[in-house]
Amino acid sequence: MHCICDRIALNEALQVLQSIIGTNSTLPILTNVLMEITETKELALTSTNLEVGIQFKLEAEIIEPGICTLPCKKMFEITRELIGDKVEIEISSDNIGIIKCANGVYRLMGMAGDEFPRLPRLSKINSIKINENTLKSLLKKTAYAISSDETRYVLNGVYFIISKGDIVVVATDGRRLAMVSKKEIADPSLEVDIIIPAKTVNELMRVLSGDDPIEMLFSETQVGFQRENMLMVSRLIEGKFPKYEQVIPKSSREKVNLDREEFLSLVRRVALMTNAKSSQLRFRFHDGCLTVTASNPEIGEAKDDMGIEYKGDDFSIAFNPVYMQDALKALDDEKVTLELSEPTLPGVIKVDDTFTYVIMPMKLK
Amino acid sequence: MARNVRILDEKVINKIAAGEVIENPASVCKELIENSVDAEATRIDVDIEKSGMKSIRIADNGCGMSRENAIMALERHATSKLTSDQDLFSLHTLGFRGEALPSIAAVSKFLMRTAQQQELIGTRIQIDGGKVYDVSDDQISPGTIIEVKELFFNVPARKKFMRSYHAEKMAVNQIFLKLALSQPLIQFTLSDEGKEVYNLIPTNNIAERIATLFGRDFCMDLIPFSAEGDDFKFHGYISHPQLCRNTRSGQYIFVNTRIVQSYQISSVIQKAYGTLLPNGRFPIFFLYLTVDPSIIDVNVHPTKKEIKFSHVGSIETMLRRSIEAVLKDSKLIFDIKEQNDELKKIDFSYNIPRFTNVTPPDKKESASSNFFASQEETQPVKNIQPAQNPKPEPAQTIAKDIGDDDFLEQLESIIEHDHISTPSSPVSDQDNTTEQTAEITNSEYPNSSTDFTGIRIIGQIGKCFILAESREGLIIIDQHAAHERVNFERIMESMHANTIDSQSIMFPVTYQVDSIRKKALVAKLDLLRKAGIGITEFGSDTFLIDALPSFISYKAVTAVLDDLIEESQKTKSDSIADWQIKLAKMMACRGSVKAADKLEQIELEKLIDDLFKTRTPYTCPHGRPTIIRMTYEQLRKHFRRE
Repeated sequence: MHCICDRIALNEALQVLQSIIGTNSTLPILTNVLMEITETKELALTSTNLEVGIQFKLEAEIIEPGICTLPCKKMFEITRELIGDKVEIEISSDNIGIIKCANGVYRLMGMAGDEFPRLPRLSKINSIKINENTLKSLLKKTAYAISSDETRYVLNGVYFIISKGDIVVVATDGRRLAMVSKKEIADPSLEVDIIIPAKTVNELMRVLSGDDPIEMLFSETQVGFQRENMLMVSRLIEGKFPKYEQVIPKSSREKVNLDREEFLSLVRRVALMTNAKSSQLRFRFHDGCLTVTASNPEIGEAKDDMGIEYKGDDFSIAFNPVYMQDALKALDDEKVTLELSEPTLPGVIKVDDTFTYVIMPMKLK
Repeated sequence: MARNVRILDEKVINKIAAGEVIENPASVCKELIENSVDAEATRIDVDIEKSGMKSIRIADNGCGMSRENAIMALERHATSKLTSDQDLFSLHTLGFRGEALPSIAAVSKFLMRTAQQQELIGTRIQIDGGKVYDVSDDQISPGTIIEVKELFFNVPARKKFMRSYHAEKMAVNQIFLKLALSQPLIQFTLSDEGKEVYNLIPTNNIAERIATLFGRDFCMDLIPFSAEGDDFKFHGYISHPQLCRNTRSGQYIFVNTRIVQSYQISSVIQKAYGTLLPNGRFPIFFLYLTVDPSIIDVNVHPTKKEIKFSHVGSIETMLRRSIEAVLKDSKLIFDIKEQNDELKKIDFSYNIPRFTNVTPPDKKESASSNFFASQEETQPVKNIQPAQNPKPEPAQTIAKDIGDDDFLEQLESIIEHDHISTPSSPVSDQDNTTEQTAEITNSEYPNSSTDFTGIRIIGQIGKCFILAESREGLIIIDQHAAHERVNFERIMESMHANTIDSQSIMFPVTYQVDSIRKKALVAKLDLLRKAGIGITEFGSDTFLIDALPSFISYKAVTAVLDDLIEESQKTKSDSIADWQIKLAKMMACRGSVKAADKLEQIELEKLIDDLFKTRTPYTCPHGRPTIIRMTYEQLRKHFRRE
């Protein structure tokens, strides 16, 4: 294998490729990047952690086709530090990579490419095109609610639904649930419901930027994200996502409009008086005022409030401050609505009809 | 066939009595040594042959007996220790029933030689199987010598029931050990087949005697305690949890210097250890209890092994409190023992005392092989020079007598062998040595200087253990055990303060039961709710869980319920406090990180930080160690850097 390509483009690709590589993989070859040149004019670079795989195709001047793997992180570091616009990469027959750039020559120990796991082929593909920033926002508003409890693995990802032209993304850990929707964006005939693993979601959020469209490819067991020169393929979580609609209260007794920043700041302040042992905030709604209190026998107590438009009964409910903050931080809207019914029934944070966040209460002490 | 009722003749009565009191050579030793103690001897020499079956010889320098008394003593129910029935409830002597001597004499070839202090001519009485053979003059120094030969020669049935030589020898050893522990002011020697096994110098410091019997290393793991009540006082030593055994064999209870067994006391002490010990492990302890003789009844059993207290509540309470207090104040990190120590542990579990064997300097090269020698290989003990008379301050006595270079060398070799916590400063001069000896014998608990500041975490290994550096060396923490301890105390605290966080969950968990399990669970619903688990009956054989403490996962909660039901089928206890502890243990266990959970550095730090804030960081709630350590001293030893 022998080619010459643009150094900056190669380095940018390697940066993304190395981000999914695990630090202590049991398969040493997985710390490498697969470099492949077939007949075409492209250099294909692939890395994978067996859950998520990424492939870049770079334009290159091909001297000789071939296949090999080289240590991904080292390649990334070398191409970052090199001086010069063009990099020449030649692989010797014993899998040693010779990298030349300007006056520098680097010999890098590689491994044969035959054993490198290939990205799965996406068969029976459906697809939609979606603006990258739109997709990123959908993920950002839900990803924090993904469960890390591996015993309920169906919750270890986001539930991604396309139905009647709308996209709905849901994530829950059983104690709170975040749901976000985007109306009339897809082909109304397309029906998709998949669970995308947390790892993939996090990688994707890192990669997504800008207003260009990205193509989502759906197959039976895989999901792919395709843009110009990059393809990310991830396995899906198999299983049935719980019936989330049942958790979302149909109605509520009280609706309170809140300034998001002000409310977040209040929660964050009072939450300073909680810790792992005692992590509950008490929210009291009374005439024109929301009072938040925390009491922790080890740390101390706090009481703070903000003015609200509230005319209902004096009402108290307790929530975990972390759950409250997570949603408020992920949003960028100015106002949110908090819907409440009983101290023992869930609270709901809403933004228009696009964002719904259900948060289970704690027993009042 | 009619038979006449008759009064049994003396010989038969004695044999029957012998059956009760004299079971084996060890019980002969016990009775005779106790007599010597009651005779106010200051030195008692015990010689046995063929584990005591061939011969037992007990010689003391006590008050001796006149000829008249000596002959009388061999009559049944003859005793000098009791004059009226009132005395029975204010006993100050170990014996009182007047059964031992005639019983022993009835089943052996018995020779007694005795002389009183002021008499020139003593008495010699020889009895074969209860029949007086010979009474004559004798020339011995004041005291009493009793030789018991061919025990049970005339009771073949009993002889058949003797255990192996080894077992009988161990039994003799045990009883000797106990008696030696009960009377540290008396010099004891034990010889087996003519070889001296023990030579115990008198001391009024019980730790000194324990150290001589069990070794200095052993003593390093003992923690002293003491307290005083209205009509009782006690003192003694309890073991670091790492020194526990799987039987109660290491528990020595002395009530008014009498060796007794008391399940009651044993379980009080066990309770004081709480979660420091795993199920089925028992602490080692030495308890010296002094009570007004009128509140105890010793006359429960002919061998006087058991004892009854007329009121024991205040003793129990104070004992428990006192032990809880010293355990709380002690740093109880488990040591990574060297191989030899492992050997020692095995030895103890088989209940074989290890003989301290300090070899003279010229034999030094053989010292290590003998150090843990089993009994057969044991060389005669050349111990610290016996002082002839008990002196009030043994530590100072040693200081005074220390001019002897030979002794210093021996002492050094003791210290050299003491690998648990040899003081790191080299032995520079005599004074220094003396101080160290005093320190060890006073059982200044060596670990009490440990502190947890300045711990640096090195990392996680095997996704299971956390390595860290402390001021003293390497410490290794079991992540699951540590997290369990943290959660356990957190749960217990919250339960008591009724402040446990109970977070409602979106997808309630159903829990299926059958009728038996249902009944068990229904009885525990209040307990569970108090612990933050929202659980309600939901149909005939289903429960619904709709709220959980935040640290417990969905799956863990069903495991906790399984555990709880299983436990309630095993245990009969209804005490709410007990069940709270049980439930807290289960929740702590199920809610904690497991082995094989990868933890990030920040999680490791949090865990260690939390662990050292707990009240008992040294063990998990089930009594397994959370932290073990290897001191720099031990590391140096392993790398032969001395």
